[in-house]
Amino acid sequence: MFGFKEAGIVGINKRNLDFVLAHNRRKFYPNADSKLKTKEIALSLGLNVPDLFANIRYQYEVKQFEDIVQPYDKFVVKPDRGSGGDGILVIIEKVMAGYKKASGNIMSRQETRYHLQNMLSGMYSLGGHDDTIVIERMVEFDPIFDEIAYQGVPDIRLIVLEGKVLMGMLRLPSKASDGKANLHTGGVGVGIDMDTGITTTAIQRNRYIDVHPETNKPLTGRQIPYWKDMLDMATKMQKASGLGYIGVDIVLDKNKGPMILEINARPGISIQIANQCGLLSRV
Amino acid sequence: MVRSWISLIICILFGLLAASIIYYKINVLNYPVTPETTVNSWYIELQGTLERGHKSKDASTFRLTLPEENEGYSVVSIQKIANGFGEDKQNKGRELLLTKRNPDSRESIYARFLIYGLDANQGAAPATDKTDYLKTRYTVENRISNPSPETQALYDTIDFVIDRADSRSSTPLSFLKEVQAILSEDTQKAAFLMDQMKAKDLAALMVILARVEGYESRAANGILLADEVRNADILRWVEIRSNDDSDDVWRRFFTDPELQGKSLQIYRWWTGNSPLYEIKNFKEARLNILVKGNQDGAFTRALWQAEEKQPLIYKFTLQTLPLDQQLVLQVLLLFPIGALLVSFLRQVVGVKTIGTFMPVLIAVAFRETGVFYGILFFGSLIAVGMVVRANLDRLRLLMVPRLSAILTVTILFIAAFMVLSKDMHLQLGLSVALFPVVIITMFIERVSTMWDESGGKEAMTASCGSMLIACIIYFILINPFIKHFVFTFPEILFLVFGLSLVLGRYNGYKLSEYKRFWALKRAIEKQQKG
Repeated sequence: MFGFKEAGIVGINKRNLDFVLAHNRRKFYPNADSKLKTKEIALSLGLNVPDLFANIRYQYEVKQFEDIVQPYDKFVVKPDRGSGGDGILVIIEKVMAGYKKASGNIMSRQETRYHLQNMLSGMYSLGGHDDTIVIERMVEFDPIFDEIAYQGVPDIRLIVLEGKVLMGMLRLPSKASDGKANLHTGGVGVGIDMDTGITTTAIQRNRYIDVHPETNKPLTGRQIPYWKDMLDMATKMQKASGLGYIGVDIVLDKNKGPMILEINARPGISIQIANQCGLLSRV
Repeated sequence: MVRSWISLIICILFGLLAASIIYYKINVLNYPVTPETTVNSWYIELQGTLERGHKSKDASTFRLTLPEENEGYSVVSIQKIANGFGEDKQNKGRELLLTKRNPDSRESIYARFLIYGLDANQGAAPATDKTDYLKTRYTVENRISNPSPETQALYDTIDFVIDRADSRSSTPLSFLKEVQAILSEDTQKAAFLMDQMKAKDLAALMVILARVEGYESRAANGILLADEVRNADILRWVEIRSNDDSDDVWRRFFTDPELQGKSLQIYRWWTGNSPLYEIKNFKEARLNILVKGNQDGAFTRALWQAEEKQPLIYKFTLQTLPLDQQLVLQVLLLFPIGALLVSFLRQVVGVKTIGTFMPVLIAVAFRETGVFYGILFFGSLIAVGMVVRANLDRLRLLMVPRLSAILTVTILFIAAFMVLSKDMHLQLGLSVALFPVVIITMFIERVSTMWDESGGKEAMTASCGSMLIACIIYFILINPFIKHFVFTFPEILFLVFGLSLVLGRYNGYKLSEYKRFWALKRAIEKQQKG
């Protein structure tokens, strides 16, 4: 109807039925849902990942949090089985009052502890089950994105279907997204030309924009470095994960180049808007 | 693709199965498609407790007068539960005698009767009734020839009352009216007559006087029929045969002036002066009578009357279940329809909700409170819950204990609300049942978590979506036609099942996605042209 099908647009029902359910077997879901598992797979393929600092499993370990992060100045705290970037803390500095987040807000030690306890009890996790906490190195992202990223880690989302990268998108944190690069929290998504790795059109909250809302710098026409390597990494991850249809999130570290951040067994469909292209026309 | 076809085929098969069973039920078995608007059938339930008396060698007995068929009503079914009692019918099946040798300190008995109002043209007196309603030993012919002075005084008083009433009245009913007037004027005479004739009450006395005058007459006992009576009283009145106007019927006369001249729907349970029940060797009996209108009257009558030639399918009819189970099932059977609606609104329309089937649960909760007060009540309760949660947030509590804290406050709030509404004589809060409270608590937690994670706008959208769907489902739940149809034709759920499968294979766009991807579609079309 209305030429949506002809445009090759994939709706959420079609994504679930014809992509996720048709290509992803349930027993491989943990490979995508658990960040620790994903890390393991990437390492076994010889791909770069952010270093794992610690894994908190039990409530009593939350008290030792300060000791655990004592050696590190900057780090990221994530629920192992979190979804949609919920609950992720990006700590850029330790201050007297507690921890400074990427947004510049300071979280007291007590607040942090509470947050960690909630994480363990599954508040940010798929299905609300008990979870563990992953503490990992904060990626020192490549300055190439400096002028179009706002407080946080930009990443590149690649959609892979059975060995073929269908679509890619550069995801940039904005003020609205609190340092996260997730589109549904208000992050900016920029489409990427598959052949050249040059950014095309950009969206925020489903609306087309030309410049980054905070930095006012143009978003289009930028070359993503290591583009071919990234496509290669994504395909490898897809094959190793056992899942047929995934989204691979890659970050660009200033020193180590592209790193696998996580993979997603149910990647979102807003990527089509950012690329001004329907996923179906790429299959 | 194959899976979608299989789902569609299963749906069609199940739909055809449902359709053919429904067709058969409607056209061959004459099941009613719509509920009756005027109730012509009632359930009468007896719930009794018997207290054991002193230990005795004899068995303890409970004698119950059973509802009788009469010119106005037929009794279609009798169900009784009296565990451990021996049962015996007495007095031509009009009485039930329950016997137990060593009863527990408290025994409970239960009985349910289903009665039907008969059409006016069916209203002839039962042919089996050969009782002589003129029989009395006080008519002139039956009087003893040489009475004692006391008996002579009785005869004189009878004659005095009858002659006086007769001279003032023209019809049997006006005769009774006059008799009552005379007796209430002269209470001394009334007391003397009652004492001498051993009449247990005014009605019994008046029956005898009417018979002496030559009117067929009897005492009757029964109950008032209404849609729902939780504690029905046994009424007592005088019936007198009136064969004037070539219209041979029994006329009712209430001795209670409050009931006189009113057009009431009354069922005559039994005639005569015996009580509803009698106990022997029990210390006490407490009996509660419930009356409930039955909307499937004609249908249940067909069901019970055709008992011997019933096809097998009747065995699976839900209308034969006990009343309380029927009431539960009536609601339960509507759940799948609500769930299907939620599936449709989520998958095809794209309404956002909190929790998957939370709207169905909220709708059930609305049933207890009504939709207007439900939204008001839920809204205020959720607001209170959110405030409490926001404040508890500062205390840094773990999730599950925090949930129980919110539950506690919610329940305290409900208790306070109930007390307040009782004081203000409002009825709304009082019907909040156990189950909705848990739903509210879960709802509060979900909303506030969503608020934290996705922001207030998202949480409000989803809350409103849930409430909207809950309202729609509520109107399905209370719709008498849908309720009747699903309860009478539960096989419709085969179709619901099939439709769920088809919805589960729906890979088309949601209505909301047409809006979401509209700009994208335009952009793609532009590229394709250019």
